[in-house]
Parts: sequence; C-alpha cells; structure tokens
Amino acid sequence: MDALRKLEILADAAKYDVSCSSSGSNRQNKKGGLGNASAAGICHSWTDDGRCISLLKILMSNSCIYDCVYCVNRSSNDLPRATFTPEEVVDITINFYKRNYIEGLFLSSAVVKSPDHTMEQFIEILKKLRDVENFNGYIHLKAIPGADKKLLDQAGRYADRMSVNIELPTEDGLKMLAPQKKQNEILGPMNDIKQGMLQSIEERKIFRNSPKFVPAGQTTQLIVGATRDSDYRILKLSEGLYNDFQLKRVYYSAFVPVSTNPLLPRISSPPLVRENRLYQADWLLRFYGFNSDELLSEDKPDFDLLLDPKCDWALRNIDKFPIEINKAEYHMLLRVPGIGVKSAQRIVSSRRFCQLDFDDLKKLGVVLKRAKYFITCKGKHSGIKSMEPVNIRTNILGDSSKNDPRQMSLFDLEGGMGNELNIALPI
Amino acid sequence: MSSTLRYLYDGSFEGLLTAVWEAYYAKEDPSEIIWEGAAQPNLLSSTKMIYTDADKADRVYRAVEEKISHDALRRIFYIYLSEEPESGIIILNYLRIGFKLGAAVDDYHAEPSVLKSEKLYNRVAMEKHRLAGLIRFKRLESGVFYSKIDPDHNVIALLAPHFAARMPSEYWILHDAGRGIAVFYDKNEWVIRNLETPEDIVLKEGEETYQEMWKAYYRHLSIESRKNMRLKKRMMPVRYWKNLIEEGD
Repeated sequence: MDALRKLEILADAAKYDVSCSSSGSNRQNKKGGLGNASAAGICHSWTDDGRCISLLKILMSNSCIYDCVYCVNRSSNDLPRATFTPEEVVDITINFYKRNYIEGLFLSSAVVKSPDHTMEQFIEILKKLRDVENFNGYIHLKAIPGADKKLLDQAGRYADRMSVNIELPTEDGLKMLAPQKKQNEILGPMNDIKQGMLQSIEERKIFRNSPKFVPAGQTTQLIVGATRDSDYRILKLSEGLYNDFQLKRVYYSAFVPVSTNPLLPRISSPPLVRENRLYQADWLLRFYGFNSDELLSEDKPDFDLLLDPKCDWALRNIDKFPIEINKAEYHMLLRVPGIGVKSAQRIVSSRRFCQLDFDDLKKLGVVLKRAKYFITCKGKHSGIKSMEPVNIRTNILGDSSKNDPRQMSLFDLEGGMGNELNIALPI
Repeated sequence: MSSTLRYLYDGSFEGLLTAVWEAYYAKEDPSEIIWEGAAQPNLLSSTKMIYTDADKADRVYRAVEEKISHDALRRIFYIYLSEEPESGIIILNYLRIGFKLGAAVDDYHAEPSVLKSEKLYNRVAMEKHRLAGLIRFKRLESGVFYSKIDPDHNVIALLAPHFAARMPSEYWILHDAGRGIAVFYDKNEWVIRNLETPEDIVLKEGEETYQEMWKAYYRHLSIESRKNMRLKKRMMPVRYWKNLIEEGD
C-alpha cells in the first residue's frame, strides 16, 4: 500500500480527535535545524466543518486489539486497515512542514500488539524527528493507556504536549462501552505526566539545560452524548482535571454515530449545541472565575440549550444586578452576559480616563444586546423596566431567535474547537 | 473660508514621519496625509508637498519610542504598512494623543483616534498572523521553496523573520504578487526586491506527490455530519483561497 492511501485511511481514523491546537510551547529552532513552536499557535487551514488544521493529525495505525463500542477503529469493525512505518511518518511530517502546510505532528494510534509496543514505535518516530532530522516544530503525542511508565517518561522528553483521552465521563460508561479500558489506566498516565512536568521544572531550576518535559502541558477529550452522563457530572470532572491534574484543556466531542451497536444512543446528528454549552461553561471555569456548582446542580443537572450558561446564571442571580459599569470590580464585570474577558479588561483600563457611556461600551466590544439588561452606565439603565428573570429571558430569546440556533451557538463559540485565533469567547 | 489642508508624501515610512514633524513644527492641522501616487486632484483643499528628510524622520522615530513606547512605534509602523489611504492621518491623530498621555495612550480605548489606530493595527496584525499559517511553499526545480501571496496589506516584511527562524537551512522566496515585491532568503539573511510574476514555474520532481498527499489529508479530515461552510469562511476568508494548494484551481 502506498503512503498516499495509508494517509487517507489514517487521517480518516484520526479526525474524531478534536484537539488540534499548537499553542503553549516556545521551542526554539536549533542551528541547522528545521522549525520552532509559536507560543500562540498557528492555524494553517480550515476544513469544511469549520475546524482548524494546525497539525498533521494521524494515527500511526488503526489496527486495534481493543473493541470499544463507540470507536470507529474497534477490532470488530469492518474497515480498511493500515500502519505507517516510522520512516513514512517522518518523511510526511518534514515535507509538509517545509511547505508550511502544518505546525507539526499530532501522533496517535490504535493499540497495536500491546500498549508498550505502540509506545515504543512512537518513541522511535520522535527520536528520528528530533535527533536525526533536527526537527523542532510542535509535537503532540497521545499517551497509550496501560503502557509502562518508563516509556511515558521517555516520550515526554520529545513531545511538546501529551494527552490521554478519558473518552467516557464515568467508570460505568467505560464498563459498558469500553470494557477493556479501566479508568485508573487513564488517570494513572495523567498523573505520571503531571509528575514528570513538575519534576522537570524542579530540575531546570538547578540544571538550566535539563530537558523540558511536555512544556505545553497535557489535555484530554470527553465524548458527549454517547452515555447518559449529565452535564453536571461532566463539568465536575473537568473542574477536577483542571484543579488536580493541571490540565491545559479539556476537549468535548459531540458523539458522532459511527456504529449501530444497541448499547449506543440512536441519534441522527451529533449533539452540537450541547457540546457548545459545555465549551462555554469550560471557559467560564477557566477564565471567568466561576465554579461548577454555581452553574449546575443535582437538581438542575443539564444546561439550557436555548440560553448560554452565563446568561442562565445571571438570570438565576438577578438580585446581583444591575451593576454600574464605571464602578463594578473586574471579577463582577466578567459575570455580565455580553462582556468577555477582553472587553472587561478594556472597560477597566478605559474608565481611568473618563466615565463610560453606552456608546463607549459598544466601541469597546461589549455586546449591548445582551449586557443592557444587567448594567447601568453613569446610573442609566437601558434594558427593560422589569428586572424579572422571566421577562428578561423572553427578551433575550426574542433577539436570538432571528438566527438559526445552531449557527448562533457556533458564533458564540469562537475557537472552541481548538482554533487559536479567537481564544476569547464573546459571551 | 478656511480651506482644508492635505499633505502629500513619497510613500516611505520616513516620508510619513517627516509629515508628522511638519505638522508639529509648522503648527498645522492637515486633514489628510496621503501618498502622492494615490492623490486625486482636489480643488477644495490646499496641498503641501512633504520632502522626506531623514533627520526629521529620525527625531520623530526616537520621540515616539522615548516619550510614548516601543509598542506605539510598532503600532504606527503596522498602520503605515496597511497602505490604507487614511493611514497617515490616523497615525498623526494617534501620536498627538500619545505625546500627551505617554505609554498609557493604548489603554484609552474610548478615544476615537486611539480606537481607529487600534482597529487598523489589528487588521494588519491579523493578516500577518493568518498568512503565517496560510502561506504555501512549492519546491521548484532549482530546490528553492517559492510562495505566492496576495495580501490586502504590505506584510511580507513582517513575515520574513518568522520563516527565517523556521527554515534557516533552505532557500525560499515569499512573493507578494500584487505589489510585485518579494522576500528572498539565501540561508543567511533576507532582502526585499522587486519581482514580477513568473510566466510559468517548474516544480521539482516529486513535488506533486506531496501536494496530492496534502489535498487527500485535507479532504479526509472533515467530518461530514458537522459540515459548516459559514464557519469555515469566517475563519478563513475566501479571498485567501486562490493561493492554497487545498482550495486552489
């Protein structure tokens, strides 16, 4: 089989992994070498589904020994199989990079023969790229659950980022859909990567040239909608991963039906709005100072599909509003629907020069259509007379119903799919 | 009736800085500062020709850096590279406030002159960032990596250091076909020279194989059930597609 045909099969098999980000590392080029990493990340193209392409995202192989129900590469699935040689992966990566098609490599794989064998193949590819070809572009490596810790340690010295996919939010889900995987096999490597990063940071305080260990940190992915887990459980899990494992990102992937197994839900299209709500909430956790218990609870375990999580929170806490733009503290500005991180920062820096009015807010990028119900400017309110949540909700939904809700939701989610340009979420 | 005043300059950055010097020292308030090559005859305004003076330009350059900030210097250079007709007057109005407020000027987003400068700066910075990803090199028979782009703004000089750091061991050319200029890199340093669009280019043997692989990869990465062309076009404006291997022809 020629490399082109393999590429088709193994790109196809890798596309459900949503992460494609190339950010977080500032690896420098070496003398006579090829490539470097840009801390902000760079997107090189966008596919027809609007997702950015930054890395050459491929599987090394799709011949899997496992049979996970939700996965397109499960061993019982009848589909063409292929395996790259290390030389082929290196050749395509280097030549794509020189033509500026990509920022680097995102290498994942089905489990070939055994977890250890698969990791060993990964390390061979990484060594060839870094040591032989002197390649200093971005490398994201998928850690294979169940592989020996020594192999993980070795791989981490060559990669910029590593990830272990949790896939299913609960142990019950795993038991049902991926009986050969166990949650501790997933959390184990995550913890090892975290320890490796901490250790490398300590070592580099003493020996400046001691190698970096996954400098761009680790990420994971959760599939949304393949099991009955609520948004609350998923968000709690993400919060724990950010706090306890210091993950850089949790990616959410709306379940795409790739199998008709009776254990899986029957859906005609992926739950994109729900995925979008989770991304919005994820941003609220990481950049807006919210915690998961403010957004959801056992009594209200799922997000409102019509209203974004911040608006929803504001309406449930209407007694805190309206706030005066010229006085409110930064953390409170962040909680106003229609004010994002960037506009909150701009409000704080601009109001040192003069009192802001509604016109100024518009210029600063505030979405007044949303914000007006929750703020005053120099004491003036331009929302509706009533501060009843029901009335405000009706008005907000009236504004957004003019648009197709699916498009609207994607408009709110600039960059949720790992695109690097518009990282601030305008909500 | 006082007529409006416009300055014409030679299109160089030094020329533009000389115009700023002139406005200050002649105590004039021009309503336009434009490149002489783009100037339309205008009976309603009086015109003053600005003659580029390296000393005057240098004094403005250093004043911006010392009295405002290095960021402000970068901002006005990017605005100059935008090549928009209003870039000259935007720079002057921004600097007038900058010389009053110092480094804090960039925080004064509510001030129209500052906001205008920020928006135009962002447009240029955005295009530079986008093209860092959207540039496609083709390997020519000679071994040189060649790329043709048609940017809105004059950004090749901003992109050159990026590729010089990445591909120090290759010969490459970054060609702004619309402006007829190109960055040439010789494995040591880069220079900008005039370059006409070549009649036909001969690719190195095997180059098409990588192009085919890239196209195949691109096609196979999209998830059909999530198709969303509107989102794609917003992230990657259609005007850039013609120079992409994966979207060209």
